[in-house]
Amino acid sequence: MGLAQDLLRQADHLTEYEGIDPSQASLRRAVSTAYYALFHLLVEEGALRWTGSPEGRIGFERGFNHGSMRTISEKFARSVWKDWHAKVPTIPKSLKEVALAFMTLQDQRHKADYNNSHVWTVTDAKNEIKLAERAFEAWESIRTDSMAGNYLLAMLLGKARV
Amino acid sequence: MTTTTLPTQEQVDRVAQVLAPDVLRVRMNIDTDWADCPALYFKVVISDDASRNERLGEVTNRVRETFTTQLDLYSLEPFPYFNFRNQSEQAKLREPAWD
Repeated sequence: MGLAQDLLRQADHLTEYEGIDPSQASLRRAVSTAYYALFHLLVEEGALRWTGSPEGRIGFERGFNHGSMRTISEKFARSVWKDWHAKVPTIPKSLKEVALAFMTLQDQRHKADYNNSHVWTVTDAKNEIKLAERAFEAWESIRTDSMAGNYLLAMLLGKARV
Repeated sequence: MTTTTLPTQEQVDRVAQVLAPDVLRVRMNIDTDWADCPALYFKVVISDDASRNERLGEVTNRVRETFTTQLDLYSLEPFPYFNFRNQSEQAKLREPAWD
């Protein structure tokens, strides 16, 4: 099992190991971990397409940037991404689900890590984990589609046509 | 292509009614997200039954899809975000923004 799957399981564990009234610290870590599970899934999937050296693969993985991934995910979620020929392709529904989940989880992760005025509940934290789980399932169904490759490449390059 | 006409709380209430009894109420506010981009935040109070682990994923997904479709939220500049809590959690926390 890879890091992404482990993180997803850990996120769920964080909401449960303290019983019915988990601490804010655990709920915040759970939400943050759910985001990082999806982040690492996409980075791992991107790296699978790398056929160069192992060192190069590490550099390749480090090329993924949270901000660029957000920018590209919004374009895919809204179906306004322009491809390498400046055409607006149809984005498969499952890929839109992944992009939407990425947008949402990244925002919630920032809220969980930095906004101490927001009170997390078990329902809200578990909802974010379920969103990540859905994104994992959606990705599995679309990962070999050419648009999934375009999504990863666009995120890695960090540039979006406008 | 984005439009600028934001939904009203009355429109939000009407969509929430469609989702009853799983959804009790929804409050919307306009803010910016972590990236400082315009955002619409929906605070959704669901029933305790709807928040059961076996149902939560299906219910929250249905809420997101219903709101985004019926209010055409992805055509708006602010990106929609949804937060959820159940009736018992809100009764305990009593946060006015969720009432």
